[in-house]
Amino acid sequence: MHKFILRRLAMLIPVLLGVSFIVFSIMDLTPGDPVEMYLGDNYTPEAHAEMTKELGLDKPFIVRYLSYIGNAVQGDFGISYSTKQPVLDEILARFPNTLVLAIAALIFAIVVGIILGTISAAKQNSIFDSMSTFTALIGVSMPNFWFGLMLIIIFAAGLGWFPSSEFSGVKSLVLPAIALGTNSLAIITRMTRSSLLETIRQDYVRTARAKGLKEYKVIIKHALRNAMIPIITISGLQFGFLISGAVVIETVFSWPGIGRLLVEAIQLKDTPIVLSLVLIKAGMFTVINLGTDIMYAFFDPRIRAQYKAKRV
Amino acid sequence: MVKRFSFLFIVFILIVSVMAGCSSQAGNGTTTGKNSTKDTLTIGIPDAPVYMDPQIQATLASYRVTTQIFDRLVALDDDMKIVPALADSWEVENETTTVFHLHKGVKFHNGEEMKAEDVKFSLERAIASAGVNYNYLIIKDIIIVDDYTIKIVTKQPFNALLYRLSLDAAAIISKKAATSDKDFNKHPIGAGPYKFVSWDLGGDVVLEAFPDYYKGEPKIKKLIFKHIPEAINRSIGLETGEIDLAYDLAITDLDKVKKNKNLKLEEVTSTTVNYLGFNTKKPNLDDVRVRKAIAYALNTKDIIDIVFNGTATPAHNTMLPPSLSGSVPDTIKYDYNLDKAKSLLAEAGHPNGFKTTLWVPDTQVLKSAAEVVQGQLSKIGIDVEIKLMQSGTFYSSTGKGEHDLFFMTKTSIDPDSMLRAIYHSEAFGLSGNRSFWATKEVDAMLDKASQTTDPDEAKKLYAEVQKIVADQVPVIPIAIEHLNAGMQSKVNGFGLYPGKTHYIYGTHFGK
Repeated sequence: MHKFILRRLAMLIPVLLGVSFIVFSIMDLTPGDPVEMYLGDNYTPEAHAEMTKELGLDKPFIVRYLSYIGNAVQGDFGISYSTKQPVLDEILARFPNTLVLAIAALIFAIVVGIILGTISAAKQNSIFDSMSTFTALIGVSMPNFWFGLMLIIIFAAGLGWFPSSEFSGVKSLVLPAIALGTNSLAIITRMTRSSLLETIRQDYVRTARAKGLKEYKVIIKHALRNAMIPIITISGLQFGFLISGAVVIETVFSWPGIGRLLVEAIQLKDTPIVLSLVLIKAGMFTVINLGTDIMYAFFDPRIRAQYKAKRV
Repeated sequence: MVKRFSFLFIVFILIVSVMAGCSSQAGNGTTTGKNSTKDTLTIGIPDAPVYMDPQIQATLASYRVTTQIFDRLVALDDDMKIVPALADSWEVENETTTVFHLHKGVKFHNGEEMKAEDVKFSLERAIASAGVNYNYLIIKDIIIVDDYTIKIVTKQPFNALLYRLSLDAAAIISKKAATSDKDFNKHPIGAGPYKFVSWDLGGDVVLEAFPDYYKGEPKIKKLIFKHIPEAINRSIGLETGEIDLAYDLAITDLDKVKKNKNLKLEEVTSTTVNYLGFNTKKPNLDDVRVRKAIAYALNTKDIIDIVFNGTATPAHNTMLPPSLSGSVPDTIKYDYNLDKAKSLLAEAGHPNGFKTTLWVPDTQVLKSAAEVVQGQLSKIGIDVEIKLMQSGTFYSSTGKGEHDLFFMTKTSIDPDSMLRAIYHSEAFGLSGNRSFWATKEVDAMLDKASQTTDPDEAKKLYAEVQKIVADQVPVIPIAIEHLNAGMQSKVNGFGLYPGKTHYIYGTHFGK
């Protein structure tokens, strides 16, 4: 097991190197001059030359890439082109905001998703089941920025229940969390439904019913509990999506997180910020994936036994 | 099972407590309204400020905040006229030297008195900063006469000096604060009506009234600049009362704001000109007959109606907006005339038109303008392919002259900086002349106009330049944008400044 985790962690290195190389190349190949972003609209040619040198942009691509990697390994992600602040400070100042939003969206998706999925499995082929299937389909297909705007128009502008672009308190979290979490909600609903339908047909559920247990007890205590493993797995994966998917939602809701930072940095061709954010997101995604894999083994004794048998 | 639910419950409690922390933090004073005597103004801005130090880089988003913190020697009023600010008066000593008499008893936010030494230090600091010095390299020397008198000497005679000194980059800053160990960008100290309070990375900027402001304490005690990137959210924020004032509403939201009893809208013609340019180094476009044909084929009224929803002013064949001195509209007219356009094209050897590209930055307004131009030119057989790109890419590639046609905007507050950037040979490329068109004659006239101390002569020269370029059409000025700001109807005294960096001082709630 330890070996397995270590090996998976070691896999992070080539993943991050690959991602960083691709992003670095893309940022380098797209036209546009970061020095111009740095200096603004008007400047003298001398100033341009000096700044090019100061930012190290006069060096060849591979030298710049290697020096970036060398510094990044030591925790130095460079200085933002547009604000001249250390990249790490810029990111750390906003990361908690994104985390809070992603966690809130995940809780919304899990709680509502499991409830909806359970009811539609328990009442399979009922009107409720069709409705929840339909809702899930819409939830998956709907672009979340559009849904976010609709929420703002209805619940902020129309009814005035929630703020449209505040960033303070639980109230301001409600709309962005719903907009961000709806996609995951739909996926979790579908997963809960199918997983539960599978377990409901198992012998031990029939036994429980035969014992004369009430239906809700059968579903919640016997069936749902065994159906939880894939739901937990998918929820973990969704968390990775939620953190990276907050990009558009944060712009729509004026939420000062790393997603909005990324959008602004791309517009300004602020390579150090873009690169570091993509690296952090890729790293987190990989770690979360690993976490869910480990959890899978943890929850399912059969998989744990497999690892032990193979002595991986 | 129970364990798992209790785990979820703990996570939930943790998040709620984290957010309770956030809300109590934000609750301190940032409450928008509802308290009986409202003295906090929350302003929704489209772009986040980048620097609090006005002398790092000339960016509108930063200047919209720093202009409240720092005053300059002179200022422009809402009608773009030069008025005294930190300098009470000035006189021209000779054609390269201007003497400024400073207002006595002006206090910086740190309590120090502003003296000639601070002025010299500030301007020299601007000249030394690559991001803003473009406008100040003309200054040769700054001489302190006494504590309240200072002389500014230019390398050549230069009559746009006062305009340049009114810009935000010419902010007068406290020498003591700027030379201390503290990072000036995080602790900016000026002599403006508002003091800097806080600015969280990615968050709001908070300023508070400076009680010792030399023109009197501001009526609004606290300003909060809130970054709201989506235009629709700024108008919704006005409707819900979350913000009191919003800059740059979307053209499509204006009617909604006008019709709302609780809100009002202010509009003013800006100094930003939208124009279509030709790379005159490219085949076809190097022929003035082709450029004129295109000028005749454009229907400005349609462009304004479609792109700006009717809220823009026609440019009348000059790059100088009417609010700038020396503006002469319609020295030559190109009224919409397809027959004339076709015959000019035929004369130039393209009876059936030709293929070309139109380069444009990817913003809503410019993109739709490009589409309308594309449609209008197709009527004379010119097949335009639109090349949409990120702003940064657009500026650098057009700066290198890779483009054919291009569509963009230019903002300026004085005739010299506008005409020089667009038509002077020294501004070829990145500095603004992306048509790469220039003549020695126009160069000489622009130089002379900027040097003469006789305003009438300058006006004559600018009129002559406008006539020549209207005939040669290296660019076609199309429309002057309108600026807008929406606000709660109880907000009074706010003046929209055509130069976009609106000055909050003077704004108040109620009558």
